[in-house]
Amino acid sequence: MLTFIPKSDFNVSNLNNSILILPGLNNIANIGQLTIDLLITSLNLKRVGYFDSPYLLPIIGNDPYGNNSNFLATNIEIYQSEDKTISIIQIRSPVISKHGETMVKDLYEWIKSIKFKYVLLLSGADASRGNDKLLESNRLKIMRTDALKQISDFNQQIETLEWNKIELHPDDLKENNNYDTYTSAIEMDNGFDITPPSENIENNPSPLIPGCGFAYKFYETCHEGQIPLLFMMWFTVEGDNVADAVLLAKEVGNALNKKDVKWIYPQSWKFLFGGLALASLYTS
Amino acid sequence: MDFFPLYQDIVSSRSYYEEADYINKDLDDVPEEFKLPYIIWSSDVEDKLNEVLDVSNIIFGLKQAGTAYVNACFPNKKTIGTLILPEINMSKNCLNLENSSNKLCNIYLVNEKKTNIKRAYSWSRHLLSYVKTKNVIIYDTLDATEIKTDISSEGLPHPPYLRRLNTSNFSINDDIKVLETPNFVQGCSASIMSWCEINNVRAVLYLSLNENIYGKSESTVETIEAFEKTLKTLIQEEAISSRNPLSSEQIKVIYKQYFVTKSKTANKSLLYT
Repeated sequence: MLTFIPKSDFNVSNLNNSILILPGLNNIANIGQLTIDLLITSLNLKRVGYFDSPYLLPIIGNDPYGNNSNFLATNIEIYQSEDKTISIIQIRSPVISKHGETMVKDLYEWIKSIKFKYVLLLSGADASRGNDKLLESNRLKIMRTDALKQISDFNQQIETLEWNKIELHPDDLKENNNYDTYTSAIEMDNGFDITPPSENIENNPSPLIPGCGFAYKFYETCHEGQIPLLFMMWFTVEGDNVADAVLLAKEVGNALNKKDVKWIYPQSWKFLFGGLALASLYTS
Repeated sequence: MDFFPLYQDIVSSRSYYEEADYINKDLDDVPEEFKLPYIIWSSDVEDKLNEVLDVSNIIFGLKQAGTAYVNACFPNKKTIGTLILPEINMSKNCLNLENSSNKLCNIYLVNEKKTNIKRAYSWSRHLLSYVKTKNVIIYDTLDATEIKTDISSEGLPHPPYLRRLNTSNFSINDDIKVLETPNFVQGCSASIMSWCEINNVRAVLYLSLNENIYGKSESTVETIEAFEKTLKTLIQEEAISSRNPLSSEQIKVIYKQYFVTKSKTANKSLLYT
């Protein structure tokens, strides 16, 4: 059960009518999380509350965005901008195996209880398993819930960005659900031909988007629950994903009509790939 | 191209196993209620226990070094209960409760050696639901391979090496450095500290460094020696009486009997120049 604990000096009603941004759970290269880190640092957001969930691995650390030694970061927290227009949930650890759907449901229930203006869901997707059509096009793809299509001013913003060209529709994905669009690692690992298991389509008609983790499941849940949500997926492979995070953050800035943001890297990216090598390795 | 019976490795995304969950939902054989931990209190405590145990300090000693240090600091403690974790196999435990190889969790004394980090939440929440406290002090260790630091200028970290993390409401005046970003802590200590941060309970976590010997992470005397700097905090928070504390030498004598010094492992320490 996900429990929200606001800070003592924070009024929960300040979350109403703000835009919520959150990362996908267990997505490839943690693109969602990297982008969120960039947004929190660059837009100077402050922590306003915590969540307590039994379905995420517990982790703690020092201040990831500054040098405050009296700041203990936990695995899932919520931040808000000074003008209260943007709220961001940062999820720093993976979901425990076999509890993804429960976590998705808990998050959905909490979001439904707060009247956010709309929700942006950021996730990576596995570019190595897309077909040629996907790889040759824009790395950003979006999906909108029906409830979001009712918000006219935001939809106008999307039209000015010409994002209708990069929009995916659930029906399109379902037509290609014979694993034409994506290859399934599970089928190939078993050495079988790539044929869709028919019973899975009947029981679980949702398409599979490799690398998204539980992001698509969350999108579906919000779609059925009439939550206005924009699902932004960034096709990438694992490696140095700092550039991907910056590009996705810029697209988020476009969606929010914030084009002049100076992107600042957080402290926690300092040793993303470890420190420099020992000097003694290079001396004779 | 595949060569029977070998198949080409597919480079799968990190969410490979989550995709398996997504497609084929496997039901766990054991129902959730049978996996919950439970506490057995000693009879003299149980009679007095109304709702929760009200104490001024809770001290956790986690893993080998933390367990040994807490055990040495409090040689005259009394066991008041045991937390039973259903997944831990206790068949090889011996009767000496203070034996560091025992797999058990006595109140004040924890050997977390085999506790899965996925179970850390259940373990910690269950224990903390039975106690009310002002301060929490945790002793735990880090592996040398887990530390991210600028080794080109600072060199490889070696024991004795001590870092701390504290909750936002706990200001400590000691000369122990805070664990630098982007290092982080997982497992039981992370779960306990998260609970303390969320519930506004003052807590501090002290992290010492294990030695890396032939690729294995081992606690040595130097690992535990690093905790000596924390004695001042224990006295300040009245976890230990300032009138009659054990000296550091007395504490060292107690834990030295179970651990080797680094010098005895020097010929095995191939990783250090």
